[in-house]
Amino acid sequence: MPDLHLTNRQRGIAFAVPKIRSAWRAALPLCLELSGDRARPLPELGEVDAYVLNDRRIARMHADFLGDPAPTDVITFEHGEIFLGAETIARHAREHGHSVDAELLLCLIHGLLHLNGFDDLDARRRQKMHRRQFQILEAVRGTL
Amino acid sequence: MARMAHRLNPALEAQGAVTFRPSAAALDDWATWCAGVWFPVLSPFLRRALEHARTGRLRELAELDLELGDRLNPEAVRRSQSAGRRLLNAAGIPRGDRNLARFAGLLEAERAEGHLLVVHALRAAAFHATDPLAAGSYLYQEATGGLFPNHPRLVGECVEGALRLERPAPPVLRVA
Repeated sequence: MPDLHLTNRQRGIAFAVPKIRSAWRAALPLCLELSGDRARPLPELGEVDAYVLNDRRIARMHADFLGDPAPTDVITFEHGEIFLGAETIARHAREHGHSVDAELLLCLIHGLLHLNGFDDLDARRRQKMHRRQFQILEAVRGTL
Repeated sequence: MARMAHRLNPALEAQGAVTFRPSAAALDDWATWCAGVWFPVLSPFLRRALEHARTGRLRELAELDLELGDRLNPEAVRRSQSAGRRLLNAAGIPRGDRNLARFAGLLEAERAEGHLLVVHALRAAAFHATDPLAAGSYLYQEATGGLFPNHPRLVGECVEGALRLERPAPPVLRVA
C-alpha cells in the first residue's frame, strides 16, 4: 500500500492539513477495494504525493502542458503525483455546500480513484466515479 | 549534434551563457570549465538525470535537481534555473509525453528548481536521444551560449573535444 504525502504550497485558503491527511489515509483502503476499467497503478506505487497549489500555479501547468488555460481543482499523474488548485476547491466547496476541508478530501479521493483505474471521460463513467468518491468521502469525513 | 541541440532547445541561440561564462581567453576557459565543471559535476549529473527521466522517476530527478543547485556557484545557479524554466515553458513537447508536465508541477510545488541540465535531460529522454547525443547537445548549448554564438564550427570543435576526452580509452590489445 503506498505512503500518502500531502503538502500545502499556498497560503490563500486555510486547510486543516493534518486532519485531511489522516482522513485521506483512512480512505486509501476503500479506494483500493474499488477498481475502474483502466490501468491501476495505485497498488504498485510506493508513494503518492499531493500538493495544494494556488490557482495561478495550477492554471499555468494546465495551460502549458494540458492545453487548457483555466484553473482546475485536481490534476493526477499516473506515477503518483496529484496537484490541487486551492481557490477552485474553495469555490466548489461553496457550490456543493461542503467545508473546504471536505472538498479537498474529495479531490484527494478523486485522485486515488483515478490512480485505481477510474476515469471521468464520459458521462456514465463520470457519474460512476462521482458516486464512488462521495461514498468514500461519507465513510471517512467523520475524522475531519 | 547541432540539429539535436536545436531540437531540444529551439531558442538556444538566444539563451546566453549558463554555467560556462568565459573571459577574453575563451578557448582556455573552455578547457578549464570542462576540467572543473563538466567532467566532475555536470556530466555525471546528466547521466543520472537521463536515467531518472527515461524511467519516469521524477521524485529522484527533483532531488537531483536540488543537489545540482548545491554544486554550482550562485551566479551559475541563477542562470541555469532561468534557462531551464524558460526551456520548460517555451519549447514544444512530443505528443503523449507527461514527464515534462509532471516536472512543471514539481517546480510549481517548489520540489525542484528547474536547472537547464535537468530540463534538457527530460527533453532528451522525450526525444529518445542517446547518452552521447544528449551530452553533446548539452555541451553545444553551453558552448554556444558562453563562447561562440555565431561560430558553429568552433562550437563543434569544442564539443567534440570534450566528448573525446570523456570516452574511455580503447583497450590495449596484447599479442602473446
